[in-house]
Amino acid sequence: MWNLHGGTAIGVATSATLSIIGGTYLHGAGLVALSILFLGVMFVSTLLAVATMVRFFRNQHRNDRYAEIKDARQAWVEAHARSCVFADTGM
Amino acid sequence: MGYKNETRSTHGVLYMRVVEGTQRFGTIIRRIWCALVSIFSMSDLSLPRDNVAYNASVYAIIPTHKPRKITVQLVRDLIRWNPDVTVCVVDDCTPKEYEAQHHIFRSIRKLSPDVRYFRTQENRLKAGAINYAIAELMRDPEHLPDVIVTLDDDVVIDQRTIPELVRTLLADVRVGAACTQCRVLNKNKNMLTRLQGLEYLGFNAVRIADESFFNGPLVMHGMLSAFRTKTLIEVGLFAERHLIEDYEMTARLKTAGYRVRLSPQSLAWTEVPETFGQLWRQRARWINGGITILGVRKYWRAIPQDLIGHAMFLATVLLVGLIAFFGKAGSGEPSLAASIIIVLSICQAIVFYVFQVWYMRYYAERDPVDWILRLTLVPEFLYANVLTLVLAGAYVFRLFERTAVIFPVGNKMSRITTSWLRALFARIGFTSGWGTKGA
Repeated sequence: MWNLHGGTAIGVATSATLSIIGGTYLHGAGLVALSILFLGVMFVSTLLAVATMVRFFRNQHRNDRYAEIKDARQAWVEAHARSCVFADTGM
Repeated sequence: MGYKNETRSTHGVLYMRVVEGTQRFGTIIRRIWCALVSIFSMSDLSLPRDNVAYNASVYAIIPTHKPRKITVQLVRDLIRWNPDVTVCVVDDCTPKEYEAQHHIFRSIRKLSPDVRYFRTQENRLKAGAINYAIAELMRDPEHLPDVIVTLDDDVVIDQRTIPELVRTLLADVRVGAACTQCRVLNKNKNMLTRLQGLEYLGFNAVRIADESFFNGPLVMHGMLSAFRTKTLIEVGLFAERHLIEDYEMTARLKTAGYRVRLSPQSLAWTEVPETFGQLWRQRARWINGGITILGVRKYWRAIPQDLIGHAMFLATVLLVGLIAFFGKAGSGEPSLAASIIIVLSICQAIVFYVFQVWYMRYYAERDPVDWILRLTLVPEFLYANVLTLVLAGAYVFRLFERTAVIFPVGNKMSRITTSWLRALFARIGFTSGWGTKGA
């Protein structure tokens, strides 16, 4: 899961659990260090996660559009071929 | 005069340094901006808009060792649905006794006289077997195919798999390789295979998202991918005896400047491990192999996803270390900073949970059990965290290997300890030198 740079609900849930533990049982320098590190990790992971989702939606939308165009063209080709056959046979 | 000249030259140097510094700062800002833009940008590659036949010669290479009946089915489907594709079966030194008992190659030969059959002299594993076939094809350079499709011997395809894949590859001249979407054939076998089915769904989503992100998805999987033959030859064919030759090849292609991509409408099904032991060994090989590629500096520009993933993991390990080091039980209410972190984490978790549930619409094979697994989240949470142990094991193994190189064994005791540890690692799936297919 760590290599899915967008992160997953599971990875983030783990992080949330960690932060709850850390947030509850830490104070002083430890909390400052933890906060800086965790905010850094959170920032990067959130940025990448959002970017991955944005890219996913755009690319998926584009793939769907291409599929639609392709299906429409295929349907047209088949209909055209059928009409040609009808014309040939005089039907 | 001398002083004046010196002052002028000092000012000049200072001025130059300021200019250089500003330019360097500008370059850094520009690079950061480009990186930010690229992580949000969508694919600029073109996809095929129609189903017209492609004008290219295609060879499908199936390396196999001790094949099963599913391989016969694969060859049959390839011939039936793709009459223009030449099928090459590479027998990677299957024992004669095995063939005498199962007659798989005899069945394949009966399917069509056009199926080309090669046999390696020794077991060369998957990458070696593919290279062997390509080397045989290169003996006749005038008739080299335009496209080479590599397949695992236990893959199931449909009518559109190969045409869609090849059309996607040829739709853009910048693309060197294309791969199919992965589906799980034995998804309903048990809970483990169901979890892998859901995981593969995520793999496909990430591959779609990674179109054009730093030259494309991280891995053109070995299960079923297509390559331009010239490109394969140019980058030097597959790396033999590598832990994950498909990832290594993808990194090499991207480093050479080629793009790789997923063919969204090309589907292929594979069998995933059905027992925990098999799954552990498979993932140990994948992750361990991934870390070896991470160790090659020249590949870094091709694998930013993996670099980030490992950096995030190590940051989390550091986080756990900090908690263990500074933690004091019973200190009371969380502070404001910790509260912000908690709220942010929970928000992120909710967003991803919603996304995961929404994405189930693309899971054609889903059934109520899959829905329960996804909605309850706990099984996937446990599955992912158990697999994280494999990653931790891989780090320990690499550290051990590196230590063994830096401090070569001296006395008998340390030699015995090292070999004992190596055997232990090998037993739990961590080795440096095996291939995809065992002998």
